[in-house]
Amino acid sequence: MKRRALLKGAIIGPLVLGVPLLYQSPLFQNSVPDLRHLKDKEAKVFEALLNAWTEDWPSSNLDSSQRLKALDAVLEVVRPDKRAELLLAIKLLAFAPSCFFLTGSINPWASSSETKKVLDLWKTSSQEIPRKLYLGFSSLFAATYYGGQDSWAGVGYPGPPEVIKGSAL
Amino acid sequence: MKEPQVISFNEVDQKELEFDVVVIGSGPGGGLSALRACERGLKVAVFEMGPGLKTKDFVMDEATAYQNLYQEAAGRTTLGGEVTILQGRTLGGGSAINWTSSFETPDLTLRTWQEKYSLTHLNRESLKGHFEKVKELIGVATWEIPPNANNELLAQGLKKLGVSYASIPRNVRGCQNLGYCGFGCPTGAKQSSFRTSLARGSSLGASIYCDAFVKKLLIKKDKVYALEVCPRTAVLGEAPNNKVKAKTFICAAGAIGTPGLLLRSLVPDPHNSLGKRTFLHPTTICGATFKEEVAPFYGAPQTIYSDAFIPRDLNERRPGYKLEVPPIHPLLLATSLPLKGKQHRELMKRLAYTQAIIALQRDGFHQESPGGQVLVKKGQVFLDYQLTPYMQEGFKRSLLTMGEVQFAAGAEEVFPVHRHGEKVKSWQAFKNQISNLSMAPLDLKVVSAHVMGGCAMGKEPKESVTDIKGRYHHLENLYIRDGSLFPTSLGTNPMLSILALVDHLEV
Repeated sequence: MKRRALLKGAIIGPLVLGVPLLYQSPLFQNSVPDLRHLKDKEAKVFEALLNAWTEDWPSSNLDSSQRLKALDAVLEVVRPDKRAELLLAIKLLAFAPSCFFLTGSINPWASSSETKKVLDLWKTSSQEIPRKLYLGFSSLFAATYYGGQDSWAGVGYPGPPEVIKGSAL
Repeated sequence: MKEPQVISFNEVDQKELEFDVVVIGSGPGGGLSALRACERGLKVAVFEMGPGLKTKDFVMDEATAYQNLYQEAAGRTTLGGEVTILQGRTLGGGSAINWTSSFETPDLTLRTWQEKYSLTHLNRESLKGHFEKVKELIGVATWEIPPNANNELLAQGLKKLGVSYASIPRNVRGCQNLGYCGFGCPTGAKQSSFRTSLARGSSLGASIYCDAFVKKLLIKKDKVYALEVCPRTAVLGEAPNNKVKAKTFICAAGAIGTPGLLLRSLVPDPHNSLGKRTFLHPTTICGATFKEEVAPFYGAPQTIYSDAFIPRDLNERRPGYKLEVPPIHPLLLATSLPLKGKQHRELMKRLAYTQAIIALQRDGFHQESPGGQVLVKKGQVFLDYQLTPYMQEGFKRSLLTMGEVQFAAGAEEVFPVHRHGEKVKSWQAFKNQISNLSMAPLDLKVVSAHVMGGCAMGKEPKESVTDIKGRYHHLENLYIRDGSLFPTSLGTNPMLSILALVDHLEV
């Protein structure tokens, strides 16, 4: 417990200080309507990570804004404190100095190969925070991509069977 | 049986309610406690945090089910993210979403409780009648239909290796063998608490409230006198609290919810034992692909098991594990694989040909497996749980067992569910891979569907949280009636043990 609290305090804590300033930036206004949790700049980071995570996958039936909506919907059901932690991470990744600290680059999100390198770095890292970022984003993206019926055909899932009504009801 | 009438707490106007007995949680323990109190002619109310969904409301869609029926939309984890925990949060609790496996408490577990925790009153003989009664209540029977391919391949692999296995008894009546037990049962075949004990309790006059978040117990001197309750959707808002008074209070909110509520209520805990020794059956997963279609999403989810790797001796050092299989639907598989890109996609594309085995490790039987601790911070409940080197040793052994079974069953490729896991085509390559993989937290995927302990019963207040009748040591009228009473994990799926224990305690 103490070790974890220390890690969080030492690494994420100081970086948080920069975040409130960014909140007031006009860059953080929503441009995709109806998104509750994702702002413009963060949404771009999310999208870059999602695209790198799903490299070479067939594109789903959803366009970019629909995918962001799906991601936003997944975030909606995440426990509030965990959602806040995840959104804090994405804010840090959208802010150049903290992004450099977490990825080794100030803006790896503009290039898909750079974003992929970040994911590889996190995946193979022996440090707790990058590993958590990798695992947290992976399950978020998996839930976003496979949460809808449009993904079923691509993985050979025929969908649920017919229910014989009235047997046990 | 007619399903119970349910009142959403969103629609409750009265600021104060009063009953003889109040039960918090509608899972197997809460449901049965409520029924027994109703049978004694008492005025009973049940408060469930989750929604009041019943058979007609269940849909066989993963995303909908996880969001509606599970704690934290099936995203609950231990504090450090080491273990993903699947727990029900709906009318019926775990009994509404489990995979219907119905086992009695293993002999070795009861012997451990008798010899190491002085629970001499809990033995095969004293529990026999209670197991019979609750089996009848929830329709436990041998499953006569042939297992689906996912289960059959486990049986085939074990048979080829000369390892013992058996069929899993299930609590269903009129089951259509669909395979969607984890999404609630859309046919009503599963005999969850809202189809059995709560249905009977409701017919005897119990009031069942859903969407009701119990914020805390209100305590005066050495008694609880009321609950503070608000609608679940208003937990973080400013909704006024309702007061629910009663003579007797029963906590059955599950082994994270119950200690969490007690800690939040600042109940007296002079020995600082509340919420400690919480167990999970930390579970490892090994996947395999076969040439023939497996269709692991269809058919009764769990029908074959093996206890061949569970110790027989009280002094055995190894943790031991039970082998079963999980149902595999797209979203569950996708979110379980700690992979990305092509590697993730390739495995997903083989979904219909995938088989998986899970190994449920016993925890709490050895000093190096002390379980976790429930904590409350800013009103939120967490479980801090360390995966010790001792347990990691057990994980490695379990992966080797599962891989060997899958290759024996004819798997084309086998892959450990691990951050660095690779699919391999031979048993030798698999052994080599496992010997080089770290079993450390966040490397290996570890899941849990069984949370137990945290309010262990016992004779001495210094060594336990409740007395041997499940009454909280330091409050006169507060009783625990769920899996948090167990002093160790069980080494098997817990629903039937919870029911038999509650039935025993309610006599």
